Amino acid sequence: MSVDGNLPLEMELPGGPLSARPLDFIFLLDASSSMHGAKIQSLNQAVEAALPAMRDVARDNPNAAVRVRAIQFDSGAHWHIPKPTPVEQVAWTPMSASGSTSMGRALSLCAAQLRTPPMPDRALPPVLVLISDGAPTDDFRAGLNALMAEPWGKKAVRIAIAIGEDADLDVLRAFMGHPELEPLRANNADTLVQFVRWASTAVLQAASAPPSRALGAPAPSGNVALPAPPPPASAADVW
Amino acid sequence: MSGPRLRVAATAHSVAGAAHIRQMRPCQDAHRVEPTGEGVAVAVSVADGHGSSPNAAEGAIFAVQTATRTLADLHAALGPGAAPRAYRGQIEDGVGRRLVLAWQDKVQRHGSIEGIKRTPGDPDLELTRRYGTTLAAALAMPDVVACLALGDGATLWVSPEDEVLRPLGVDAHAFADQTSSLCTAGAWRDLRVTAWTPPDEGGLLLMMSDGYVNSYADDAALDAVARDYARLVRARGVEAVGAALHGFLRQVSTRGCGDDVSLALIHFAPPEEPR
Repeated sequence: MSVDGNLPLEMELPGGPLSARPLDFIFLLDASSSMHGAKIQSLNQAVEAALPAMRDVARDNPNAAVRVRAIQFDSGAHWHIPKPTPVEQVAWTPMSASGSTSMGRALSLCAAQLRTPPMPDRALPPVLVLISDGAPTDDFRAGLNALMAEPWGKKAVRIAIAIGEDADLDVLRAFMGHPELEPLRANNADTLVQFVRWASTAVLQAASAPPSRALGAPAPSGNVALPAPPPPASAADVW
Repeated sequence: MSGPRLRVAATAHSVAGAAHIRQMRPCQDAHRVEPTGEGVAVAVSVADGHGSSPNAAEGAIFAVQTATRTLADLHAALGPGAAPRAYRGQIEDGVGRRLVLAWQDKVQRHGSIEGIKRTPGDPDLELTRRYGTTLAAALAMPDVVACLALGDGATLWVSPEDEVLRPLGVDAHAFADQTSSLCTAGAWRDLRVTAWTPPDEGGLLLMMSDGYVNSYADDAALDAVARDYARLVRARGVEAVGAALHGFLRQVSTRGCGDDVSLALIHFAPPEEPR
């Protein structure tokens, strides 16, 4: 803006570009060998299928800049989508499964990116969605401690989805830290699609405009008030 | 007989947030500008009611009413010629506490009249939380500006050299959706207070709710906003800029963070400065 002796009648908005608040949505996805075959295929399909609905939610909430990332964990942990990517630009590359279940390392990797910086002060609470079919084979507790040591880790909305009957529910409960909401249990591909979609839309929506609160006032369980998850789909195929 | 050293003019405005409008929620910000004395002093305040507090809109209105009244009374009590340290000392030594308690008393009475049910255990605190709000307020005179803030948002001073300062620092408890608030027990302990003598060349004080702050990427971007307002006010005068605020704040909320947005501007201008 320039203000000089010859001002136009209409004044321009003071300052430079406005900015919606960033909302980081991070998938933490189990790609260990037990996920090989139908499970990893279903997981890839579920994430890919959720993206259009995520984009719709983002469009309906223009004051939140939704950025998607994904961590894949197997014998190690690495970023499957390394940069915070605007949801409109996310193209899902299918993962393959092999190796052990380094869930603790995945949480540590995530924690490092929730520091300020690189996280901005003025962000919205991140949404972390952990999906696994087994038990960690590394130091899960160290990863969780690293995550919870970061203020944005503590403030994050943390959702866990268990695939099949062998997932370690205690670990997923500890990740969520939610006294009322249990890990979601997906025992077939349709249910997994439903749960991933719920986390990517209803949870995203709830996290995009959290009401401010006074210091010391009771916070909702899980940091933001979440809508109820959908019931499991009744499909014939069971993992 | 010479006139006042600096002319003081103020304006303020609040708009409902774009997200509030989409969700059919009321504006929970409030503002107030109150001339005091003989036209040479002005008390100004903005408040941002918490979205989680059901009576936040009333809480914010009570906050700006209480703050401007308290500061006007302080001006009357100290009289002309009091130094900045006198204002700061008075606010820190009791006026700030009285302001908080007056607001809490007001919401308690409102709650009783409205028949709001109190919960057992800590009924007063629970009721007060329903009205939770932040507050920023200033008393501006030709020789002294005294300001206070409780909670998030920003108070910025633009010097005649276009330097942007944060005379009150930041709320130590503000993070994500959490902020210090008038509704917490012992809230006066979280008040940030300062007072100083504006330079002969004047300057601009801005008080904004966090809806304004969160609509910019960082402090540097917010500093640019403050500098542009200072240039605009110097060129057009406070009244003309005040008339444009509604449009400005609507743009900020719509293209920014979507929250309610409030802004108060207090301009200190030398008598010879053209308007």
